[in-house]
Amino acid sequence: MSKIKYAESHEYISLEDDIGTIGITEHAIEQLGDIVYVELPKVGTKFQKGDTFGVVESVKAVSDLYCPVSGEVIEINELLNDKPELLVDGLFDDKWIIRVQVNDLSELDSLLEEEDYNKVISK
Amino acid sequence: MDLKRTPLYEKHKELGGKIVEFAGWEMPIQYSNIIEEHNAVRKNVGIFDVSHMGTFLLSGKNSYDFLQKTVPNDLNKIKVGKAIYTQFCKDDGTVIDDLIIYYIKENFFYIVVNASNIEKDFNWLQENLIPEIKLENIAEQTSILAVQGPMAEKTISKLCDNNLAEITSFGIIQTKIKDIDVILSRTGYTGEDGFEVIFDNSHAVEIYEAIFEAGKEFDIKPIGLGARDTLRLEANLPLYGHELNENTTPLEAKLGWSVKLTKEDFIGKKALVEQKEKGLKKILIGIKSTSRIVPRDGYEIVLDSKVIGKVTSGTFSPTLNYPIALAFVENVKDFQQGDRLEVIIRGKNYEVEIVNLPFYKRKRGL
Repeated sequence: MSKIKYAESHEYISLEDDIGTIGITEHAIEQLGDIVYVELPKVGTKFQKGDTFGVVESVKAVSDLYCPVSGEVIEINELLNDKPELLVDGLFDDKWIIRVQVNDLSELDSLLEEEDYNKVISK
Repeated sequence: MDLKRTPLYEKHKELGGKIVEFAGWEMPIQYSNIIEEHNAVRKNVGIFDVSHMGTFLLSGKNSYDFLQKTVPNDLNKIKVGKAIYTQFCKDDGTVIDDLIIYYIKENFFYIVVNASNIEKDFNWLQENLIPEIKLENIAEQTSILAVQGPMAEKTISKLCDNNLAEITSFGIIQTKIKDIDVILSRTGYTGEDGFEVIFDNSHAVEIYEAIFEAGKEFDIKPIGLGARDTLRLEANLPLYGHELNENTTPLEAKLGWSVKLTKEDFIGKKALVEQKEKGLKKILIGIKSTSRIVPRDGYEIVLDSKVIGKVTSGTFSPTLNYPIALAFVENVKDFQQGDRLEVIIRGKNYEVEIVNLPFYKRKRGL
């Protein structure tokens, strides 16, 4: 069973061993509305926790994506290049954005549990 | 400052509207999603609450002469029962606001201005007023609904006795909907056929519901400010604060068609005549992205490694399915459709292409 943690900036990370799958939450997707473009990083890029790893554009606005942990990108969801709308209406398995090799698993401790994230967004 | 609400605030919430702050008002930005609402107006019909806009009443025996001496467009071009698009300009020709004047009857006008400029416009008009004119700000008592789309005429026809086919573009009538006095004009801000309905606040919910009910068979949708922006941008209709401001003249904003330099004196005429003679320093262009990256307000435009201007409005065009934007650039060459420029987006240069305006023009069939 993978463990899912959340950032206050609305990214989630689902961890299996030291591989983290990162995407944005349903709440964020709902706020963004019609997603028309997702800018993805290159495989091999290294990010520090909090770095911008990509961008999501909706009709009305553009939002940065923040890396919830430090690590190296090992895979990107290339489907999003042609079909950014998958983030909105795709199957769950198509809705991730990047996979990273996590440097330091203890960084996950500072992220939110689902319950706490839900409290943040209900404010 | 306390945010203002239109009489339809609760209605918007009931319809699932997501409320945001706009020009001091709490207004719905969207109900379902922007693309769906946008397409509803292009294909069928949509209803917009635009009661946040400002309405002034101008009357008295000098009111025609006053307006004619004030605005750059020529009231001689219209008669009673017609509306006209124009601007208020400063002496230097830059734009205080853009607006529609409704010529309701002899020496009796409605003036509809942008929500963000109500106070500024009212004060400016008062400073310039001549005797025997009454200027009233009725913004707080007045509701405006826009009903836009190819099915707008059929929708409104169900609610009044008039033959709406007889009302031409920018035509106005005084009529009744649900036995309530309304001003009905064939105007809008979407690039689609449609009407705007102006009436007293006290009837807002009743009239909104009547139109909504009448439009049901045409699949009418409530439309928020988000789609209002994408619709007007596709049609190249300017938005004050973006394409127009106090550093820009209507000539620079490609609104020369509404500036009649041959008419008698009006405020800003001297400067505009001079600008026309000397040539424009900056011009408005339309661009499209060759990728899906959206050039947005404020992004810089580059030609031959030199920044030559800035985007004023940009969005993803739901009708065209690619990003479009308007930008002011220095008038350094004869820009042609198909010319390539670059726009700096998040520190990187992306190629964009100049396109003819408007981005979208509706087909006018029978």
